[in-house]
Amino acid sequence: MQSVSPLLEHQILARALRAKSIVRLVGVSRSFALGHTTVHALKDISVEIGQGEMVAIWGPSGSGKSTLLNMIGLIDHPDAGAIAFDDLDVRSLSDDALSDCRNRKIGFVFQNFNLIPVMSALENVMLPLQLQLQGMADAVARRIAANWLGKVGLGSLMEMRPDRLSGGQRQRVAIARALAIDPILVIADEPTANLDSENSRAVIDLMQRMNKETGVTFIFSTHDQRLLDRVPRHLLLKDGMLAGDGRLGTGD
Amino acid sequence: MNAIVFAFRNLGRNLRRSLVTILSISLGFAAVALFAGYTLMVYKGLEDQAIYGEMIGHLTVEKASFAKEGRLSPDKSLFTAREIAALQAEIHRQVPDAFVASRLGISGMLSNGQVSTIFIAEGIDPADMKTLRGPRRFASGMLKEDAQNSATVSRGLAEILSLNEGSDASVLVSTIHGQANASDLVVSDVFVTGNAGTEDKFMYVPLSLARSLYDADERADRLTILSPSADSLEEQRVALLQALNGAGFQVKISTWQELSSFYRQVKSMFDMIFGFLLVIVITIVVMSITNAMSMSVVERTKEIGTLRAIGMRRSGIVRLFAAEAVLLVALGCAIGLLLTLAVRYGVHALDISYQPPNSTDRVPLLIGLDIGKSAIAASMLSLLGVLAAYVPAWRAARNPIIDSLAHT
Repeated sequence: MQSVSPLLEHQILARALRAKSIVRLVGVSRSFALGHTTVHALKDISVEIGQGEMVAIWGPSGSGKSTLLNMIGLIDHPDAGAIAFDDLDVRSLSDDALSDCRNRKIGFVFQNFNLIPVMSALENVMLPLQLQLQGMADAVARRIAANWLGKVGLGSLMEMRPDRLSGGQRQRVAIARALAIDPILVIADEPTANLDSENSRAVIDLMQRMNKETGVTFIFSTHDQRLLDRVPRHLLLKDGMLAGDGRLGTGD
Repeated sequence: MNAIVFAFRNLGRNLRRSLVTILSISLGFAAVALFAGYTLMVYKGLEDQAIYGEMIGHLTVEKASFAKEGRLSPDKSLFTAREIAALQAEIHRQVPDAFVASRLGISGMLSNGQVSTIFIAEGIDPADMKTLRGPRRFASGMLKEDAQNSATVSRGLAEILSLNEGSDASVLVSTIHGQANASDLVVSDVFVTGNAGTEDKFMYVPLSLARSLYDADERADRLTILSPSADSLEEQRVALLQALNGAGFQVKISTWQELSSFYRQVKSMFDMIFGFLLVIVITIVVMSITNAMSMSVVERTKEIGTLRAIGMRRSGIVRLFAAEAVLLVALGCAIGLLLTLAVRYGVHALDISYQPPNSTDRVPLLIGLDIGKSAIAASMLSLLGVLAAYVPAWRAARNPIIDSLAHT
């Protein structure tokens, strides 16, 4: 593993900030203590992702896909290296500022959907809007949420609670929740892992469509080879290291 | 979504646990509210007994030297007619609508012609007695305005001397000059003092008879004041003392609470019991809330991770669970209040009575509504309930988001 000197790290980060990429990781490493052993989940990862891209992170189980997504989604901190997100060095942000940043700029789609069970589909989509610092008016949040549920094809199921929806429908609610805040980035951790092939295809179709329509950057992790063919950029992780960064049609 | 609606729905997730917690809060609150209501009625009863029953009034004015020298030098410790008039004028200047009555306490021997026993008696004008007795003026023991050589005698004393209404008796007292003086009188009524300490020796006699027996014409050992505004007695006492001292009177002014040691002792005891009860109930209830909220936080760890990921601040997580705790306490207290009202209604409907210590008669068990103490109990439960939710919620909010999301 090749480490980056603090000076070089600073220079790369400064360039990234000037380039206004959505996210740039420079020499990011992350390890976890597991009993008496230390697991190095990410080793010296440097990567830049621009606006409007659709990126798949793939690799075998335990390769560090989720850890990398957590870093990009600002819900975990690197042990070493730096992350620039939307022109901000995230090391300078407090926990509240990181929360606000995630709330305004990042949409999350989880493998297990992670919808709030006591809320209807509509209320789940409204939730991040209502968490915003200024507190969006209920009627406005309701209108935006209903609009997004309509776009993901759930206009007639808005009042249903998650336990009344199928897996595919729940994931579409989660996608609507992620997009409702008008984010610059949507993070999806194994969004099709708990779906059958038909629903998996539908969810990927939806994310591709939203990526094209809204210009929002989508980054998702998967180890489903069939889905990769439909995503323009792939980041391959092996043993916590970036083993490949390829784009469709480039021969990488 | 409205925070209260969200909290309400979250409580419904584990309905049985929430109901058990609400029930424990209800029972705890009802126990506190019922005891507070009971003591409220006890205090009110003792207050009425002291102010009107024993005719202590609201404020009592006596010479500063009376307590120490009243027995040794009664002549110097009594107010003269001129002093009484001047004092009454000054009192009315300070408390315009106050009622002021002259009083003279005497003691001596009471005889039925065959046997004698000691007595203590209050000399009071029968018309003043009516006013001082207030709501209790229809009770037994009232002096008759047209019978100057009469007395009302406590039941115990009457039994010792076999006296009944209409019986003749003789009193023997020592005058303020130390000479013996005697008089015949007629027992006009027999009454219950309500206090075991005075039941076998107490009498009321007309002020004129007391003065005559004491050889103390137009004099009084104290003035009893009924104030139109009983809520500010301490302020009135201070202002009145200042005014009377300024007018040259060396007097002592006491409130009815100071003069009624029984009231103070009972109140002190019940306040202490209430404190113990409150601490025990709150401890049990808070443990119940802590248990419920801790389990809820653990069960919803993944959800906390999700909420944090989509942008809820740590303080938002704490507020979320605090709202649930407040809702639990609010529902518990509301049901507890209904329970209190139901038990209160039941107790009054059953007409239960009991004999308090140091009392000669049974009294009805009455339960009032002590809004103040109930509000204090509800506030403390809310505050501690929030604290019970705060600790696990804050700990969960500080958990790394990835750990919360990975929680199973």
